[in-house]
Amino acid sequence: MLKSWGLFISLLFLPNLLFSQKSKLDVPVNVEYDNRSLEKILVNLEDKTGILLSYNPESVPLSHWISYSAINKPVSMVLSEILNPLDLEYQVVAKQVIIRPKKN
Amino acid sequence: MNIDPHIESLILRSLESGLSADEQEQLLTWRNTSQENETAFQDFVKIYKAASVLPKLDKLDTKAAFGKVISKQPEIPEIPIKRNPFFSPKNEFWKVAAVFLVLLGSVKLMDSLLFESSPETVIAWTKVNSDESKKEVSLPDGSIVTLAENSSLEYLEVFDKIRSVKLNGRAFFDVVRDEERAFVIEAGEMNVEVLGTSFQIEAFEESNAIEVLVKSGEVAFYHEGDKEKEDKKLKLKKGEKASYDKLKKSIKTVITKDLNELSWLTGKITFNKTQIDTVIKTLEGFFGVDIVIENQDFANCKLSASFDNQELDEIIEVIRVTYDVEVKQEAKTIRLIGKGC
Repeated sequence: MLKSWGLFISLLFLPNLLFSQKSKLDVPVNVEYDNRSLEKILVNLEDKTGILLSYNPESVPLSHWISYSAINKPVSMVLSEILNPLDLEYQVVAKQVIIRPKKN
Repeated sequence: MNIDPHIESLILRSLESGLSADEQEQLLTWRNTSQENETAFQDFVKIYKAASVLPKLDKLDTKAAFGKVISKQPEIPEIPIKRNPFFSPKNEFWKVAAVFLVLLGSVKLMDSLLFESSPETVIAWTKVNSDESKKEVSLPDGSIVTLAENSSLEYLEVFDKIRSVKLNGRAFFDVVRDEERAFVIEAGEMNVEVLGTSFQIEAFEESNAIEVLVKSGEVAFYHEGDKEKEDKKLKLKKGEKASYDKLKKSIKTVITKDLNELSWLTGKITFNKTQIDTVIKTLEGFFGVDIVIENQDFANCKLSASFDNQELDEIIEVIRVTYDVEVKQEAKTIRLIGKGC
């Protein structure tokens, strides 16, 4: 009896363990940026979705102004749509979403 | 306490045969002199009443017991015996008095054993050491102190009018609000006083600085000698930090740009356009490792990243991918080989 409860409880927590950056990127969000710097947008996305970013601020055009909006889109898609036009891409390593210039 | 033998005889006679008006006056004056005297009187009466219900008291061979003592000290009783029959060992008073003294002693002993809250009782300081890893301490008032490694905290098991603790090392305090009782931390020669708030103190004995960083609310930071001087107390608000220099004996407020002052507590490490050599220093301090940057150009690169309760190898891996650097893991050092940004 106790054993089955133990199993039940660990199953309850299993989704938490799997809830890594990968699945945080799958969570749909609503965002609306009207002429905001890329830097502010990245900070906002971190706060809003709990993703952890890593980037070299000298190879990412942080002061670039962007207008962008999305309704109920996964964070991964939002990131791609914002980064793509700037020739940037992201890669997930450990808990971090690393933003880098696209490799040719 | 010891009662003067004359007074003792007055008390005893007041309970048995009664006193003259003059003697009554004497006894009353003595009782009113101090609270201690009154307490002694009350104790004596208590014992007398307790003793009077002891049926075997009369059968105690006090005469023989007293005689033994006398026989060993023959010179002492000699003079008074001749002069005053009151001091004669045959006087019934002495038998009773001897029994009373023994009883008084035992009641006092019982008192101190049974009633810990009596004012003479010393409330003990409890000491907690964190040793190798951080440790959370719950205080009697519900406040929580998180000790960083190699730090120690002392506190009174029962807080009185002031919630008083002593710190050596680094700790984060989350103090429960109590307007009636100030919470005072002795950190080396400095005191930190609050009513209820959260803040960090760093006061390692071997360091020349004693520092306070306020996370919420307000604290007062002052030298232990300035306890009564309100104008000498530096008031610090949320986000402010102050540092006391033990050698210069001066306090200065510090504008802190270090995002990772509380990393040891939260496990979160944040870099915001932070130069790589600073990043490395933070990681070295946090994980207690040696990290070497082979190329000074890479040391001048900057990093924006946040980490949350992660192992060093994960963090190094993230840095590796972010800059495309080469990592060489050696026995005691990690080498980073990269180019300039």
